[in-house]
Amino acid sequence: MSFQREPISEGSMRRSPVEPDLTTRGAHWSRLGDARLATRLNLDGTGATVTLCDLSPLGLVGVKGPQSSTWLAQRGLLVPEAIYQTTRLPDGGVVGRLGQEEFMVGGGTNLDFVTSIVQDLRASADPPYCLEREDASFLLAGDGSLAALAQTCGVDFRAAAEDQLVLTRVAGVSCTILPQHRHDRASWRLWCDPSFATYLWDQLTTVVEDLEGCVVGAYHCIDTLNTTEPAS
Amino acid sequence: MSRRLPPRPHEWIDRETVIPFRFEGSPCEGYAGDVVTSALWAHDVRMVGRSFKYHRPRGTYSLANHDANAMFCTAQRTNLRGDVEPLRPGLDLAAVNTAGGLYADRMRFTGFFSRFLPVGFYYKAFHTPRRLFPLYEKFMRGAAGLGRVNSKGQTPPTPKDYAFCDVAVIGAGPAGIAAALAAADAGAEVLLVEEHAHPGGSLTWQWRGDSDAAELERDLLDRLAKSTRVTLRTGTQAGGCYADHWVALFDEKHLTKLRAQAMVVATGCFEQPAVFQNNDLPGCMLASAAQRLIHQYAVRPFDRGVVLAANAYAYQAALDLLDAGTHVEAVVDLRPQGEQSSLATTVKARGVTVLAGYGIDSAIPGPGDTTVAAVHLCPLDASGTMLRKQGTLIRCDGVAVSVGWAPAAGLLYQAGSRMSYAEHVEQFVPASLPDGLFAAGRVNGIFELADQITDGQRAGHAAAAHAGYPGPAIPASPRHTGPSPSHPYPIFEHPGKKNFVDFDEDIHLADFKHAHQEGYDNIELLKRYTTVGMGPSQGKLANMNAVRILARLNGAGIDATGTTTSRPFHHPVSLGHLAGRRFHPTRTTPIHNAHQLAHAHFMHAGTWLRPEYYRHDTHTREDTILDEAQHVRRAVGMIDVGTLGKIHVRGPDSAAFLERLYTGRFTRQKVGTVRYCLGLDETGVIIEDGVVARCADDHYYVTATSSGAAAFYREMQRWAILWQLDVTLHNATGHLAAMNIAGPDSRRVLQAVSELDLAADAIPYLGVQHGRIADVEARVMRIGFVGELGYEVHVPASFGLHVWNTIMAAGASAGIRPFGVEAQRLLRLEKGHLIVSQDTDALTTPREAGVAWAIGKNKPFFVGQRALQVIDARPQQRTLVGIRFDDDDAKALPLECNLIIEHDEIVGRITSIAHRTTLGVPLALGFVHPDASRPGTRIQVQAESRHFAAGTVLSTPFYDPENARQQ
Repeated sequence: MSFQREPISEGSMRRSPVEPDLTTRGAHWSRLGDARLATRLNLDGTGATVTLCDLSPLGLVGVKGPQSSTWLAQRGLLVPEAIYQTTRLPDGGVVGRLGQEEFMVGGGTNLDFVTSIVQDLRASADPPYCLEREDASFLLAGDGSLAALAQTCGVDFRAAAEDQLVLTRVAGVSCTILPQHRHDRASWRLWCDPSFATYLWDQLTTVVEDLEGCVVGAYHCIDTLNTTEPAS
Repeated sequence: MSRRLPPRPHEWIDRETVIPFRFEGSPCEGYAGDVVTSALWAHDVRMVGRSFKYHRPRGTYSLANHDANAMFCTAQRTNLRGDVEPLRPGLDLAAVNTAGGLYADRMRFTGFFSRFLPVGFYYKAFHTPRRLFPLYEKFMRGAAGLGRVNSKGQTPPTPKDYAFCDVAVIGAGPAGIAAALAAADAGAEVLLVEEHAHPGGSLTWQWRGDSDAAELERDLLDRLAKSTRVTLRTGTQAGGCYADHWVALFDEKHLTKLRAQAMVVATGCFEQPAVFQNNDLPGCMLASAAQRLIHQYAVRPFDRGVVLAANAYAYQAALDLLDAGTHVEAVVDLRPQGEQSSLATTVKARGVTVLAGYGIDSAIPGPGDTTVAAVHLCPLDASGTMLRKQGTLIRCDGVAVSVGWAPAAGLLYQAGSRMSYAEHVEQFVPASLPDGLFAAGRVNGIFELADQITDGQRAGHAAAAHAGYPGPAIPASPRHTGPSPSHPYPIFEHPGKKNFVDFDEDIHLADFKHAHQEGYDNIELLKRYTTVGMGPSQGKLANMNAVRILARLNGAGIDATGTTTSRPFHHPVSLGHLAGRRFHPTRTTPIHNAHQLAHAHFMHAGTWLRPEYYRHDTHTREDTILDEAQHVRRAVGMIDVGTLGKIHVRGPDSAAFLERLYTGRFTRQKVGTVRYCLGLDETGVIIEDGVVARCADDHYYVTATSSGAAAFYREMQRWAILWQLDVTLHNATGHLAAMNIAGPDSRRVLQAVSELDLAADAIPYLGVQHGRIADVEARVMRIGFVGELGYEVHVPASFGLHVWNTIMAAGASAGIRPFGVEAQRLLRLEKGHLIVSQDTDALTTPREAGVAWAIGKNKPFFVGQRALQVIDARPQQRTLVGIRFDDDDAKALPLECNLIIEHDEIVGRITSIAHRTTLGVPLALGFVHPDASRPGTRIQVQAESRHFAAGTVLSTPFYDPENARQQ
């Protein structure tokens, strides 16, 4: 059996776990594949030293089990060699190696790509297996982003390599963090279990706003975001 | 501001910004950059507090964060240290340690009774009769203590953060700055920490009169400002040093947890008091305090001053006082030969009398004891004893004391350094330092300014090299030459006592002698008996003199006498800083927003936030819960069960894995079916239960309890590795939403939004199917935890809210309502279903809990099997049974965990109880002795009200024993 990522009706679009808070911040919703994304908010981040953006709708899929690396390579993906290493996807997503035969794939703007991986994995009864990953995903960016991380996490990110995942705890929540610096602007992508999303979002927004930063929409963060008209 | 000096170079105050404030009800003014006591001193307010025990008038003494008698309270804040608290507009300050105000303190006469209050008097006086102890305690608590805490005040939580650097340098004095620059030059990232508002350390007060020092300061600060690798944090204290160079930094706003690769401690020294009679009078202060007043705050300390000296720095202080307009009546030098440097010549040349081989026998108080009015000087004999008959009186309004120093070595001690006493400087210096820790400057026994720079550079290079940035060859530390900067025993007896060693706790010299006579001849014992060093300044001005006194009393050396243990924090830290912003992760399901809109009352279930019930305006909590349960029984309800553990087990060995993990059988489980599963630990104790759905030959989907899922998943991973089976596990708990729709109308409601055929023959009880629910691919299981026809729907988390809302909308005509955790607990209780960890404990076995039926027959192995074989061979001690109570009066009914009593013996306890049920009678589950487990047995339970509630053991399920309703 397989979960289909494509909904039949617009009402069943995938939604971010922090959608209620984004709504209070004046979210302008756009549709990206089967997802509903807050592309613009009340504040656009101009002059903010640190910004926080919700990218949870940019989905992931887990690939785990024997032959995972071979399977990914056969699809033409550049497979990271070392555990916690990542390779970039053209849409801004990543292939991240979490174990000897465990990977996270996606997180970029091409949701169809993730869907195709899911469908292909589920079409076969043999390993590797498709893991449901509905991670919440946030992007911390700006000169003040290190200060925001310093208030919530005990890892020294000064030396974090750009293609290296950091598995740690942020505000007490297990997170996977990837440096994704853009145009010399420090950017940190966080993924966490979606059940912690609301809590972690609340903590991060408090810290970011303490540091005189703000929450921004996805347009602020993604160069190549390709959305259709507002979903609702 | 009558004592304010004309503008001075390098002063810390901003004369453009006048700050009004109030002290003891009177209006005052200061400048931005002032601290509270500098502003008060500028107003010629000398008495700023009273002492802890005798309530003696006290003034400012160190101006270096050690003034325990210059502490204040505001309406919101407690025990502000006036010598470091920045002046702020609107401060309304009151001195601590007073009853009725500073000037009219009702306890100011306590000193008259001092002969009845020797050291340890409370240990000796207040232990008998015991019945009066509460009275003593009340009195002592009322009389003692410092400021009062405003327990109603609230301050927002302060953030805490982490910081990292290659080299941390603590102390931005000359040695510290030199160390930081040297380390940075070698390529290291440096964090330079300074507790005062400005960098420079002793350069900002001690060396202001030296033009070479001024040039050096300019150069150091200029290079510091230009360095891109040195980050300077002023107003920040290094409060504690822990393993691996983990340092707690505190500033006004928050705590920083600093981790450094290497660390340089350049914390300098504390100037130390001399002990003579009335050395605590306002106007007596350390020479360094007088210099801080002059150079940092532009305040003239005295009009007519006397300097008590035992080193060259006292003479520089005398010159500074002269330059500030103070008439220096005399420099009284404890050393027989006096000062030999050119400073003494300069002082004499300016008309100051220098008395070598003299000491101050007593300070004479002025009216009201609020200031010093004169000093009685005496020559000293060869043994250092005052020759009182040859004394002379000099009128003055201030005494500046400069007789020696003690290293600010707290961080070094905490880091594991060993210190030893160096007689050439008469202070403790590091004898050995832990790896990666370096000391520089005066804390290292280096006092000459040029030597401090050299020593700082040495330490900076060494620290950088340790952090991976090698530089030039590292020379040895310079050694102090010339006279010792500290006097070996600046302590003088006086028959009238009041020669204080510890200003915090009002301990004078005689107290030490008495304690020693009573056998307290060890420094740690002496500390605890006399309480020396246990006040707010933690002995920074007292401990060294206490060690010198004890060494002399013991006839031992300083090294042999030792020191007390130095513990964090270096200076007091507010509890608010330590508490700070706390992180308590909370999990919510994807349907949380719908629960909020439905007025859910939430409860914490482990880390999860779950709807306990849905509030109803006109119902009580109990009414609401019962109503929700009844609605499920008669119609249809839906509960969010997304908190359940949801784990995929895949691979060719999946069945074998589950057979080992759980007590039941799964190899022959048919695809499309669901089975109950029971997990034990290796001692045979129940730790988990749930269901196992077989989705494919090599794919099982397992649910686990909400609070136990994470731990059980770790166990699963551990066993998978140990058994080396070909299984792939995935904990999808948070990634899936789940909801249970239950009740006679559940099939009809769910069918309306389902593409699956939900008929009983298509998906029978304990069946599992996959298909679309509300247009979303879902996993649907027929299970009945609440004892009604029911379906559990699992969908991806991001579609969970949509599916929930769609089902609710579809069921509106059937009256579907959400129900909470409490209604579910009630319903399952009626059905006799246990909840692991509520109806089981850390010793419960399957047989005791009545679930031995879940153990597969003739299994070769499962976790806990061997232990069960041993346990089950013994007589059973207890059995979980159903209980119905006779009385439905809630006040008389027991609560969970109340004890079941028989013939005054405890024979069991209640594990779950519902006072109101859909069956109309109070029901419970509880453990009883097997002899009492037969249905119909009468039992007694002692309720909270101490009444005994009578009940009858019943077989379970209480409700629908034929299971007709859930089929």
